[in-house]
Amino acid sequence: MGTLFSRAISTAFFLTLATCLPAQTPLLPGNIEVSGNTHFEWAVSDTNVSRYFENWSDLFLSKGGFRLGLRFEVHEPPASFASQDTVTGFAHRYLEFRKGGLYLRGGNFYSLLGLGLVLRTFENRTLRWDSNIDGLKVEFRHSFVDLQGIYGKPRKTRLEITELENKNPASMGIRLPALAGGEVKLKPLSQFAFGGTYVNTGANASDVTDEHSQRGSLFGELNLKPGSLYAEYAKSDYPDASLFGVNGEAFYASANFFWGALSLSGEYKYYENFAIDDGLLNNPPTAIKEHLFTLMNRHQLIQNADGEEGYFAGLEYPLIQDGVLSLAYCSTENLQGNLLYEDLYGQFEWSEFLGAEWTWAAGRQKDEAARYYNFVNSTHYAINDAYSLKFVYEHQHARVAARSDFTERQYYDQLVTLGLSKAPTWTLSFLGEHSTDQFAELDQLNPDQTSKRKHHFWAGGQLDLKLWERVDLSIFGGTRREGKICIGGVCVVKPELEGAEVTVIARL
Amino acid sequence: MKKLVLLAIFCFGLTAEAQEKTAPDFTLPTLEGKNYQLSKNLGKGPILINFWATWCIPCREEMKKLKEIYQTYEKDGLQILSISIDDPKTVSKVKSYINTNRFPFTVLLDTNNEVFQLYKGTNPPLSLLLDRNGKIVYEHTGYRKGDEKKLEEKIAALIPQEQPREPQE
Repeated sequence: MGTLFSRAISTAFFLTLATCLPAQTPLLPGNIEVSGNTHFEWAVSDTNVSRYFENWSDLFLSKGGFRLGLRFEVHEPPASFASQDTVTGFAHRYLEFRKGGLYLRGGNFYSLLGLGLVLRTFENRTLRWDSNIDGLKVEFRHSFVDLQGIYGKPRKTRLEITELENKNPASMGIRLPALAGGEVKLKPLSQFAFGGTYVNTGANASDVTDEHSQRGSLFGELNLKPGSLYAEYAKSDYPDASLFGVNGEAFYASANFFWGALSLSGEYKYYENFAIDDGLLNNPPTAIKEHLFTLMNRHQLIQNADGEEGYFAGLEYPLIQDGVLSLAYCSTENLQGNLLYEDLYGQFEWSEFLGAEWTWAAGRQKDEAARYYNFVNSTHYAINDAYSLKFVYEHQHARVAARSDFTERQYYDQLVTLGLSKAPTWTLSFLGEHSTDQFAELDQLNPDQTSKRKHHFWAGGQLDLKLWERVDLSIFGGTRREGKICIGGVCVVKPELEGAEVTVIARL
Repeated sequence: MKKLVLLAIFCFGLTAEAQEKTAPDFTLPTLEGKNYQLSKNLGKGPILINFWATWCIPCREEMKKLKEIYQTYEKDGLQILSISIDDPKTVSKVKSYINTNRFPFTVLLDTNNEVFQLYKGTNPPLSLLLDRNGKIVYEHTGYRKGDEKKLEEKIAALIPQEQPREPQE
């Protein structure tokens, strides 16, 4: 009954939005602006793990600098491909006020202190990640100083299986003990800024098992014409270290240097015992190359801020008119000096060649267990002002080292996307993947080791439509391979799909 | 019961009088570290707000087209606010990307996506065209080759008629 009710509410919300979308923003009495948006994802699949129905619907009432926000969420099942605790109900409610550089918000909010070494709470729906804090936030931005103060209880985004099973479905999440913190940034010169951050977690927790910690950082920022520099040093302290944690430290620095159109960039990281609440509350920079293409993205580094050291170096230069070369190298080791991840990558983007836009990329990724050699070709051709064709081919050759239970193996994956678009209304695409990995089937616990090379295929069609300018509808039908999706060192595994998936995003 | 009340409020709102939306005000840091406040920059001409990220392929394609549009209408007061939603993981790559591609517009950093969420963004790219009074006259999500034609028509319609410009070929 609860399932039916929540789906009915979500569907009614969507239908109301969709039918009224051509209208402009409505006004309530007293000139209160009403707006909203809704986001559906609905999958019907032969594989049980990937059947899901999810919806995020927001309603906003605004007047002057005030805005009231409410969000209703439905997630069925609650842990379709991420251990999220949200089931059905009001996930967010807040009141905010903005005037000039002043910003106040009571209710659910997100926060970033420094570059996330000490604290970062955020939402990413692709990752099914929402670590909002329920409390109060105050921000003030001025030419000479930026201030931020926060107090509240953060949501525990990833739950243990036992917590998922025991939680009350009517509640919208298990909360961590309250934290208090803030940031001060001083800007004495237009090119130079410095400041500090501080967070105290679990100070008032009554439960002795709650973690009590204090963390702080100092940072500096320099912005000059030929380049820029940012550095942040952080320390953590656990008053009850013997019971709950080990004091930690973290350092991150990034630099850019420009010479004409030549851009050089570099990053360095050192993180020791710095994943706050197992990384739920902070999210330091990864200092790696973030990959745009699917196959390379699947094998990116999963961050572990409790023990990592590494660096990134990058170069971008327009070799010819309309043609930009990008090179990148990054390496991350654990604190014992063992390699965790290495990536060498090159890309050339040529926006005017034979009447089309081209991207060629090649690279090698290496982790503790495997090496991946990658090649990508992307071609985007405008047939006329409205119609265009896009063809993307990705190839990956993998060499996986022997493990105690399996011998060394090699395989390759290839992925093809072919799409026809008419601007601004629709795109029709074919997506296909071929793999020779004997682990590619769902039953990975019992892989077929009798043949060294086995062919697996996944294929599907996708229609993307824009309706009434404000609704984006996407329908996928066919099969799609299970795959890891990584964004900023946080990864989730999206399960295999054999069926259909519908996504709707509507804005009012 | 609470859920039904919310739905009722929402449906009532939709039956009420309609008008153009006002763009919410915000303050964000520029690439140079200075603060940029939207409300202080209204009144000079149309403003195009474009949310993008270095890891977003359609965004990168769209930005090349926005550069051409900006070069055509800059003299008519068009401002383009190119708001990067790169998070702390990728924000250090923004400056290099902007410098090498010689994008001439104002670039702002929305590192924790708070302004993106204020504008109800879910996936980039997201473009909003404001008139000189800060009213939102056009919104567009995603990018397909050719989308820029309609955007350019909307911008041209906001340019005073005594200064006509030919849309780009």
